[in-house]
Amino acid sequence: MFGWMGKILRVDLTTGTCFEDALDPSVAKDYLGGRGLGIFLLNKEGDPKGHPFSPENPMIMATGPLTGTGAPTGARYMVMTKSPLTGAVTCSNSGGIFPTEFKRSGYDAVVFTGKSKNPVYLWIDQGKAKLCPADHLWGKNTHQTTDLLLNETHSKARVACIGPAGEKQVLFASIMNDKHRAAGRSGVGAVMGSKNLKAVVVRGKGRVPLADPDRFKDFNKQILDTFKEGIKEIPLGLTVNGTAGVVMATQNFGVLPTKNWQQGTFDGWEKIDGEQLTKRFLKKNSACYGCPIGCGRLTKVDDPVFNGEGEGPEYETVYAMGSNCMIDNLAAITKANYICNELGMDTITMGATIACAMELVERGYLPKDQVGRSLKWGDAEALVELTRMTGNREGFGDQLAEGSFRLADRYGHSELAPVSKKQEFPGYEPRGSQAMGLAYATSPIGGSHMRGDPAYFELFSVPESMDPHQWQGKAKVTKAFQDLSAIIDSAGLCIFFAVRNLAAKDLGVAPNGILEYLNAATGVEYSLRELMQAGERIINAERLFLTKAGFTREDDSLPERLTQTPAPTGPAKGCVCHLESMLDEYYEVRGWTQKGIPKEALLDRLGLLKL
Amino acid sequence: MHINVKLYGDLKTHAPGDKNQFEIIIDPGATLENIFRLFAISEENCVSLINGRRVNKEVYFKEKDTLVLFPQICGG
Repeated sequence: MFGWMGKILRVDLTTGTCFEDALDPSVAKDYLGGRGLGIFLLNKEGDPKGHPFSPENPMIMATGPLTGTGAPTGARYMVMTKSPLTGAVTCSNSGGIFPTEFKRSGYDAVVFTGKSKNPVYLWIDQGKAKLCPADHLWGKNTHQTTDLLLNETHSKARVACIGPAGEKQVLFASIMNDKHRAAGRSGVGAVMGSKNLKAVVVRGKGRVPLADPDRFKDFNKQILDTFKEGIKEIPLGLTVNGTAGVVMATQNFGVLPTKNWQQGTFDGWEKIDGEQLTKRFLKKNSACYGCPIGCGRLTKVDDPVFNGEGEGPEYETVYAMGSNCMIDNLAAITKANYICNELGMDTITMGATIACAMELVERGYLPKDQVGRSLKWGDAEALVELTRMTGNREGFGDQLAEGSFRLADRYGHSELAPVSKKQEFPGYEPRGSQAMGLAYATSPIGGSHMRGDPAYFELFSVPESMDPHQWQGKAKVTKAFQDLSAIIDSAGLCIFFAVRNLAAKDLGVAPNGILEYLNAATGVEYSLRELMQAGERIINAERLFLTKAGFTREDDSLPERLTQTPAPTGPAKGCVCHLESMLDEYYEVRGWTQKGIPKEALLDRLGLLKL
Repeated sequence: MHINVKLYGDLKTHAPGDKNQFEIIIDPGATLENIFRLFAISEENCVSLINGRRVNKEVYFKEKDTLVLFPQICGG
């Protein structure tokens, strides 16, 4: 095979055995890799009704055919399992160097099943895999774990691991790779912890075989030149101020979630914007393997209270821990981000859960003695302390570790949790960005901006402008973006590949560019139609898993705060999100029943009847 | 006619004084294109919002409108 390594590593943690399986070329063709391969395997081998922490729940780490090829942003891998936060699937995605190193060790994916009796880590040294004892690593944070593992395996190896949050099954624990990059969402780290698997260490010096290396090289040069030229010409922001530069845009559109999603504008926004981050804390940019954008931020905070050093924060962290908690202290936000990285937790759910707790306290629903300290809007010290306590499940942190839905529900007010399918939203307010509301509600993982991000159309006019306050016609756009995201996630690329190239409309690179890369790499010679159909197949394979797990239209929901209460401030003042009307249209466009179930004719067309 | 102007990102350097937020007086018939020319801002790759809504360069202003201009950005 070309593009793919052709092998899947299987690890049975109960028996402690590792063995190799061939990757079926027809599955590779139909599902690409990454997220697609993950959902194929999860449907075949997982139990949609099973408990996420049962040993039988498979945890899959999968790269795509373009991971590690040198295609720009081709540095990603995906973690797929049944989520403890949502009960649906996870699609936790990360970049850095680990995914490339993993693939070059000879495997497209690794499937973990069972549960180890004692803590272990997996060490893959150039294609040879073995499980090693990890008792001495249990309790260590992700940075300490990484350093210790590099010391005992190989100094140039790459590590993905969990921290104390994953060990203690915080429901939104992440898997951190290369110390600072996170497969962050939906609690993949908690599933890893439930299996007593502390880390995966890889060293791989192999090459990804390409079907037509000259064709790949020529096209790659053309695209890389375009990227570099584009970054010079267009102040894209991602390179200059990182993703946190988006605060300026969302504030001015009135969609910067503030005060636990009560409003879309924050008076203190200029203190937490990417420009401030660059000015005050940026040491240098960091880039994933082969990425010409380099949106990562290596930062250092010299502050008497919140000092530290690490990577971040990203836009999503700034919204969740900043405006959403009414906190304008960027040092504290950055410090809480570092703590999340070190303990291994998702910053979005962490920040959103603390904001939800602040509102529960303000309204008198959550007694102060439960919290054990004061918890008011804008309290930077509480943010940092509660983040640390959550990662260790100490005191009130044990309640926060369950996420905002379970916390609010415990005190009788689940309507205050900013979630869809019990997962917290990223930082775009659907009352001022209608299609984002539809994307959150229909995402297979619950609240997410990575499984379809129509804010690009609505706010950034990429590739074309749409009125963010209108709901009509948004179903078609949302479906198209979701299908494209499935292709990107499965090919092993980053969403920013599409952004860069969608921004240069004349190139029409996405999905055409992905098509050319895939064909040069794999030799499959997909048509554009076949590629788009693969995206649709992957989305529907995920929906099948959700349907079997019992999810219906009722779960494609948003809190009443967004659908019933008009936005009180900013450009979206007076707007609500018209979810139900968009859903009617969306199911029609998707070929699903009005209850949100894929129809048989659709499953037949996509070859999913037997899945 | 009075309008409020807010310039962000690199566009701050196009402000007439040392403040990036200021009020200006314009002719009632002035369009956004006139404002671009006034501050020597290239309309390409610039996001233009009047009262938080995206507008094109042919648009006219109303008294006390707020115009926000910032460089095209993406991501999140």
